[in-house]
Amino acid sequence: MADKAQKEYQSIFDHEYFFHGVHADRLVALTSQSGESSFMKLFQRNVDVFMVAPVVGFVYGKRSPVDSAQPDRTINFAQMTYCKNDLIFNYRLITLLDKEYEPDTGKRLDKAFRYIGTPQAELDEKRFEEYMRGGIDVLYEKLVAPGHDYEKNLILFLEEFDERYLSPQDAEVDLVKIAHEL
Amino acid sequence: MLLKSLHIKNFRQFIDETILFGDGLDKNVTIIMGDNGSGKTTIAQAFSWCLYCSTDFKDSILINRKVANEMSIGSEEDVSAELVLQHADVDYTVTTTQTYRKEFTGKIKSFNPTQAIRYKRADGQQEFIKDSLKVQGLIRKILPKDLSRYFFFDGERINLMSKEIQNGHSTTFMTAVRGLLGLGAFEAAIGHLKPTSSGVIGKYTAKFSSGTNTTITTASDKSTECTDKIAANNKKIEILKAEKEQADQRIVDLSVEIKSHEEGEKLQIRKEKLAGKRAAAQASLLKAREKLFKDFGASANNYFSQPLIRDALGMIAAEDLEGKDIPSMHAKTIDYLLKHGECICGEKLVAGDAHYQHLVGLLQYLPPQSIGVSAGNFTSEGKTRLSHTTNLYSSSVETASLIESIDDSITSYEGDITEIEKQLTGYTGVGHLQQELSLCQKTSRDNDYKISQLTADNGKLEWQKGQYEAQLQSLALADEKNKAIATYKAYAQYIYDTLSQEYAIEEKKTRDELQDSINQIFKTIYAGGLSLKIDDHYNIQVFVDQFSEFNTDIETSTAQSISVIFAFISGIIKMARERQNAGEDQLIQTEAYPLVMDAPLSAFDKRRIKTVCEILPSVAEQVIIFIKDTDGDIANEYMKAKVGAQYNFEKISEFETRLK
Repeated sequence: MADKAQKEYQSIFDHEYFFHGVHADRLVALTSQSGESSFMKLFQRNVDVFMVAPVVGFVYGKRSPVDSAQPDRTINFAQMTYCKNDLIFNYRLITLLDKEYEPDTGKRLDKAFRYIGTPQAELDEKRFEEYMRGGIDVLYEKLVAPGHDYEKNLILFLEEFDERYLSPQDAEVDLVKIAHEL
Repeated sequence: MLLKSLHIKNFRQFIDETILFGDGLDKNVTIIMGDNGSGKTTIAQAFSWCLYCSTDFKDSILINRKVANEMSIGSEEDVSAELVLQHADVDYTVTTTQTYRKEFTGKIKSFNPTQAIRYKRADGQQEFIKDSLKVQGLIRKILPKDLSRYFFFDGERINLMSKEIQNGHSTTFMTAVRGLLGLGAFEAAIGHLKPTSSGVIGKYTAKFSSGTNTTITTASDKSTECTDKIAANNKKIEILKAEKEQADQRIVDLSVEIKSHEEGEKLQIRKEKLAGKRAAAQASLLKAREKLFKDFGASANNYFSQPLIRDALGMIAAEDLEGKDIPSMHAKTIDYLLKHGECICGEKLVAGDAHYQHLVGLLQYLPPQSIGVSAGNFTSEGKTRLSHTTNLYSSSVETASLIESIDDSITSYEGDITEIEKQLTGYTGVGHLQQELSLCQKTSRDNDYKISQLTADNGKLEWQKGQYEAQLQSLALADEKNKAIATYKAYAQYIYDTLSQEYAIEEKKTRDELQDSINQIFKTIYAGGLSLKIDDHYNIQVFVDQFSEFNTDIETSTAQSISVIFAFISGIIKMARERQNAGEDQLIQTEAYPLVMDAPLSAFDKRRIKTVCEILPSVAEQVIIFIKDTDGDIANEYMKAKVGAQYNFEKISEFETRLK
């Protein structure tokens, strides 16, 4: 039974994905054209939001429950498949570092590398989706809500992110440290 | 010519009106006053219609609207004007009538106007002429149409007329002026005698009897042919010269105008350059803005992941998961070997034996039991991502400052363009002026060439003619009859030459007198240091007295232009009058003419109105003046003593005005 369940289990990256209610609306706003050219979009595709949002949600510590409204925006299977490797990479990143969710390092490693794609990952995926929705909220709040000048919003958001998480000095020290450690 | 009365019927807004003009020696001014639109211009135009069957009205239908409306279908009504005038002591009554019929469609159809003249001949016999050609011929003798515009003139056209007077006229105008100044008799005599085939001299040449000598006929014909060709060429040269003069004058005007537009042209070019720069900057702006979004789309994932990758890689490194795993092998491989009971090396595997247990032990180091390989792959991927991550923030800031700087440039270009546009308000470019200039320059060059060709041609013809004449002379002397013809021809030629010389002297004298006369009046009207000069073609040029040595015509202001035309008209009339008084036994005969002026004072200031009012009645035999009420009061004040008749317009409706 367990083998059958394992065989039949499909992770969120294995099928079409649906967005509901407010997050579907915000997804629309984040992928809408903001200028005279079709290149002037914050995100070209829904899957691009799906890729960046969980990371942003996790970095900003923001999780958001699923909206109860009916789904009205999707990421089709083809797009999902095309980006699957990147999506799994981000999933592993978050799962590895979410100490709040799982304080035990060994178990986090198991979640990231051993349980991924198995029924044991179901709750972990739901946690990942919460970060993704939280990330959509953060992106919307930072890039769309302040006003129509998306270019200005973009710069301010990048500046904030840079100052908070990537201040040059820290980044340099960290990268050197990581290099030595590896 | 003096105007006695004008009777108009159904003519525009006048249903049936008669005006008797002041024509006494002391009371020679008639003032007709009315507001704008009351009919002053209509009365003035009635003179032109009565004499020449033409008006300046845009609407060719002259019949009174009220009368036309009341006409029944199929009925006819006449529009007529009857002008009684005195010319060379003969009273003429000129009548022009035009019949209008109301068609069945309700439209008004007009027929061609008809003219008739009644007058009493010197022998007391009444003459009545209604043949239109004869009527027009007689009117032409009384007052040629070309010249009439300057006696029946519209104050509102004064600038245009002044330009015409200054910048060249048709040959007919020149002839008309000469005729008016009494040079007509000279011209007629010279014309009668001229050596062309239609002239006396030409006819004598043709009369040479050839007898049996065909050489005489040939020489005579050839001589006449040369003369005719020379005359025809001279006519062509005259026309070409007039055209060239006009073209040259226009070249000067256009050059001045184009020069005045030079600054505008420079501004226009600068504006176009700025507009080009603005368009390029706008394209760059679009690209830069696109770049901002494209960069974000391409790098956002790696950029935001950076801090997480660093932490995750640190964590994996701390767990020391690498180095223990069997590379490139999966647990499924071991499962397969165990299931088939044989190792890769060929050793048999039995459940529970040492080999079997060793292989089972290896499962700990293979996925999915072992995560070392996955973690290793993840680490490699993470390192790659870190190494490929660009600083999205700094590159975006760079792009944003580029956008800002391009935006600033566009704002600056737009500011400059707006400023230039302000300066260019009303500027329409010089393209059309350049085109016209090229055309005029071409005309001038072409005519120059044609004139030189015709002159050279005439040279040859003169030589040939001389040859034929000499031949004819020697042959004619051999024959008695031809000898007589040659003698008559010689007399005629002598008279022709003498008259031509006299005419040239008299014409020059007349022109000088006219120049003096016009200057005298001009200086009274226009108190300024300007003088007028009249050239061979009776064109008037304005010169500044103190700079007369420069001998250049100057651009005239409106006031100067008005004064020029007044001086011209008054000068001609004054001279005509003086010559009339000088006696009739001379070849030079003249006739006095009236001045009929529509709104002449509206363009003058009060001081000049006074001057004009004082001068006109003294220079013209008769003055008929149409003026606005406001100007009328001033005119009345200054010309009171000279006013012989005065009328006021009473506007009954839009379609009817009466005279009181």
